Amino acid sequence: MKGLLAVAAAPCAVALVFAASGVVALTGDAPLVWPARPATLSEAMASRDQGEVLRQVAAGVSLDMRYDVYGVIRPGEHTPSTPLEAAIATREDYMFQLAVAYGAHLGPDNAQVLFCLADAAKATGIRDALKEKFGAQSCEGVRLPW
Amino acid sequence: MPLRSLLGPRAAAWAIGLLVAIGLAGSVYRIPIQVSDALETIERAVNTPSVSTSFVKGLRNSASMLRPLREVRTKLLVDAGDALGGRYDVAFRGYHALAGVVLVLLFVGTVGVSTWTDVAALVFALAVLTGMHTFSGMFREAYPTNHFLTISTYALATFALARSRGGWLVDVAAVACLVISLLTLESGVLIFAVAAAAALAGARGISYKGLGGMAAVLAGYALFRVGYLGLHTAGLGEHATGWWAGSVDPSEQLARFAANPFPFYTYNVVMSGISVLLSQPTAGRWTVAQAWQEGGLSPVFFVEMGSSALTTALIAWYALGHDASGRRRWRDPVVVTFVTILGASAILSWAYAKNEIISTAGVFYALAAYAAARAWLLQPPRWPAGAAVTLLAAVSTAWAVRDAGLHFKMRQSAFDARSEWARELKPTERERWPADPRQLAVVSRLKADAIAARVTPPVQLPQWAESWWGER
Repeated sequence: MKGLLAVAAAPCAVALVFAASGVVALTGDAPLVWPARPATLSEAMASRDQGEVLRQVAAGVSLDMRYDVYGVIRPGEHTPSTPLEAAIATREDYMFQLAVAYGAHLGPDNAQVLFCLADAAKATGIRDALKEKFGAQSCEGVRLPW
Repeated sequence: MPLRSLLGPRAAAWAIGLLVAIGLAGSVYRIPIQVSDALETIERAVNTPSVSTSFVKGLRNSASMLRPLREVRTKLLVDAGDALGGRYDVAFRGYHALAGVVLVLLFVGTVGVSTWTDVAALVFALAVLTGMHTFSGMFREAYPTNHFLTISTYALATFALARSRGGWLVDVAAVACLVISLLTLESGVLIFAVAAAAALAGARGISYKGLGGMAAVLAGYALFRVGYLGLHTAGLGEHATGWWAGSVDPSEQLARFAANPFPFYTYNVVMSGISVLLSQPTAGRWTVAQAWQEGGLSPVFFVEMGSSALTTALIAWYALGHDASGRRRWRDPVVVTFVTILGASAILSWAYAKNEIISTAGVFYALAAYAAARAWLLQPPRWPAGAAVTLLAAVSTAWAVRDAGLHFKMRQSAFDARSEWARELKPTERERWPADPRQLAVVSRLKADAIAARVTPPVQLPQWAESWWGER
């Protein structure tokens, strides 16, 4: 009998854990194992989490505010950012375009900081797109958010 | 019901099966409806007036595929979503989760447990079933339903029918399984292979009349498909596929193999078969060789290949031995059917290798693993005390690790599926929105529900997990 228990122990443990997680997932909002943790809009943006970005925007969260980002842009550090700045941290054009498409403000007043941030972060696609729209920007004396 | 039977092996087997099924359902249900290969089918179903129209349209909406029941299922689920007040996510994802529950419970019913040794072997086999790399393909995606899952379920049901006591109802059910499967996916031919292999090995649940009926259906299908509809099958240069440590895209396939495609087809067939037995190559590609070359063999390779190699060795040990009556075990219906389905699934992969195409072989691999583990526990080899059972426990633990990986991968699939919706109905691309108001309403609802679902982004998943369960 000990031998049978040894063979069955690990698969039974895994089945039990994920069954409990499954019940909670089916009846509640999140599974027990690996549930989604709350994230700010900028954290979602920096994590390339397009779905979460859209969920928060649909819930009325502003795309033009600055939110805390912990551990995503720089491991173990708080780097408060606007969603557009967080998008630059991903170096992904589609993340930047997503924020703009859903209403993030992009104008002459914030183009310079974003251009310089994109240049510093080596987000070349985003930098070139900003250059095309607003012209080349001088980065001398520009204070970057992180 | 007496307390003794409630605490007996049969009840334990069903309880464990239910636990596995609930865990699976919980993870599957939380994957949002995907956009790629699914939304177009749903949009088609939205304005189709009836199920019969869906069926008829499904007969002619492709030059190479005959899958009218895919259209019918989608239509029925859209109608169910309407009946639920527009909760299409509940209809589609609920159906997928329920289909997973059915497969797992059918597996438990098919093995037929009666002792505690059987229960231990079943627990091992369930870990093999759900831990197989071929299993995850049936649950990580849906187009908008997963037809590979449908085929595996009907194949298992056909095997259960073949091992039943028989009767005319069993014959009718077997023919129905074949018809439904053939009209769902081309891999439906596997249902006939299951029935024929089981009969060849002595399982007489499906009578010769029933087998004759199935053969007639298969012949009629072939005539209808080729002779009447003039459909061709997938061939060289239609899909990218693995090739040794790399891959070959369609144009490269044509450039390298158009003059003589035989080596390419042979590679795909052989590697697809090996993949079930060794968990490598994956989709025709020896990713382990690539990882080795890059100096980064992560634990996932050792766990997957090690557990598969040892389980394959266990099945080989079983098949080459004798049962209590002295009969060679390779004649056992489980072994004969597994080998047949392995071969048939590999042949179906001739044009390109894909884990999903061999998913039914993975299910029968788990069935064979059950028979082998049971025999190993009943009559272990004469090794030093406890060594044989310890080895099986170690292999079982490795499969449990893989089993947990299935849930990890489904979290990633949920993230991918939800992310896809960001590209749909973009406010800045209104010209690309569906022009039809009903289609627009349905797509809007699908997007809203997918976005509202909370899923875990990869950045929140444990970093170490990627090396144990990640893509390879």
